[in-house]
Amino acid sequence: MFPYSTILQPLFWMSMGVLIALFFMGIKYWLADANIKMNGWKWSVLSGWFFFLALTVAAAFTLMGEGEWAAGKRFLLFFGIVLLLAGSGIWKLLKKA
Amino acid sequence: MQKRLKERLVISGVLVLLLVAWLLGSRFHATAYQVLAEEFLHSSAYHATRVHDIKWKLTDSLGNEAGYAYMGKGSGYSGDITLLTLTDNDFRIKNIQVLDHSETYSYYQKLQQQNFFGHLQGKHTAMSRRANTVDIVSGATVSCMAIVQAIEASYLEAEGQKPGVQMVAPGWKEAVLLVLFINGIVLLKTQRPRLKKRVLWASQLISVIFLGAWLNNYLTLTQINALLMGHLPLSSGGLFLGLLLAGSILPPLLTGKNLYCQTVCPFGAAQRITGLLGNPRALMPPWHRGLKYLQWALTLVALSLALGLRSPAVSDYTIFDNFFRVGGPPLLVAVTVIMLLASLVVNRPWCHFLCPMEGIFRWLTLINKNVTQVWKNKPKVAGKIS
Repeated sequence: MFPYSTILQPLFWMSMGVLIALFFMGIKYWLADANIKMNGWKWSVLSGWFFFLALTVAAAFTLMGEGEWAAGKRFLLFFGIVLLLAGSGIWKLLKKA
Repeated sequence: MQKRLKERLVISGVLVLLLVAWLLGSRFHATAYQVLAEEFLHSSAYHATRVHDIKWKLTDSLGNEAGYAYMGKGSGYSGDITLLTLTDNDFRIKNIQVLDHSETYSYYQKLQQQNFFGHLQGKHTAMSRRANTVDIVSGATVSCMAIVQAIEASYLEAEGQKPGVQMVAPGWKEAVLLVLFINGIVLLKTQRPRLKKRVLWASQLISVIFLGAWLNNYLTLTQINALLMGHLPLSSGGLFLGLLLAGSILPPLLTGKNLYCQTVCPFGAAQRITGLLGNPRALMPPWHRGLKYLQWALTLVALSLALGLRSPAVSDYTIFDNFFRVGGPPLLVAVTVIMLLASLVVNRPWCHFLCPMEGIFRWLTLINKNVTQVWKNKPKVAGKIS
């Protein structure tokens, strides 16, 4: 089975790592393209937001996977919206500062 | 002149429609509670003998005295709650049967889920006089109090005792509400932009935190419907609700100014605060006027439906509850989420295009313009005797 396969599992996680690295590298150029100058605190805020986004997705789908569908949906809906709103605010902040 | 005539025709049409709905509602919803009560008693394990209008004596299958049944009314969140209380010979509650109520379904469901009726079993019917404590369900306080009031009042009335006078005392909740209304007046009167800005944002924060997140108490269509059906909130000890209704309805009716939407409404405040995170603009497409007419018409349909069906909560589509209580029917939750996200790009979308309260205030303002103002400016007949 794929998730527990000796060869495919490490390959899957390696490709995930490459994709995430590419994502962060892409963000750098994308922000430069949008004329947003980044500095230390801006990267910290963005990383924090991304961390919580990943945590929310992971937690919600773990709940769903454990059979707690209602809890998972509620979690994703509540924190997803909070993160979307926060994302909009952070975007505004990055552009302004 | 043409516009004024049109407005007067619309107002007359609206008032006639509401009156017809009200009359239809009272014609088809005349409930005979005594019949309902006796039907329930006949289906129970007891034999009931009527003592008078609201009291029955119960005997079991062997003919032994088994207690009493009392029928009474309590003033709930959106209308009366009529119930039948079955007691033992010591007047301790054995069973409660709700004959009729107009409470919002989600509030009533809470009472059932938290076994409120079950917890009342074994308590004396005159609960407050016997210092029996009652566990009130959080978020459905008014409904719980109405049930306790109905049980107690039915017993006291049937036994020829006078019910205690309920004290209506103002507290910090009423003070906060008053401050918000005063802020609304300041916003309308002041010409200083800096003060305006400060007052507005202070009100928005107070409203979201206290009225929305903490108290979960705001103006809904259910309350307006209940008021139109003659249910006065003060009778359920709701000074806060009375103040909220008076402060929201009287200013647009008497002066044409709407205070509620500016400084008091917590969902409007939530949208404004969300707007700070985005870049909201006023949405003024060519069909903007059509959307406004649709909003006002929807309000009218909701009011007529509630009056016709004699159920204040039946047509309520306000989404404040879904936002502040984080839950509710999936469709309303979806609308809430869409509105919240839309307020990042559009200035208070719910308030401007869907909120029934805006529709209510629009009708009140029209009445003010065409009835109150005309009546106020009526030329006075000189009383001078020549």
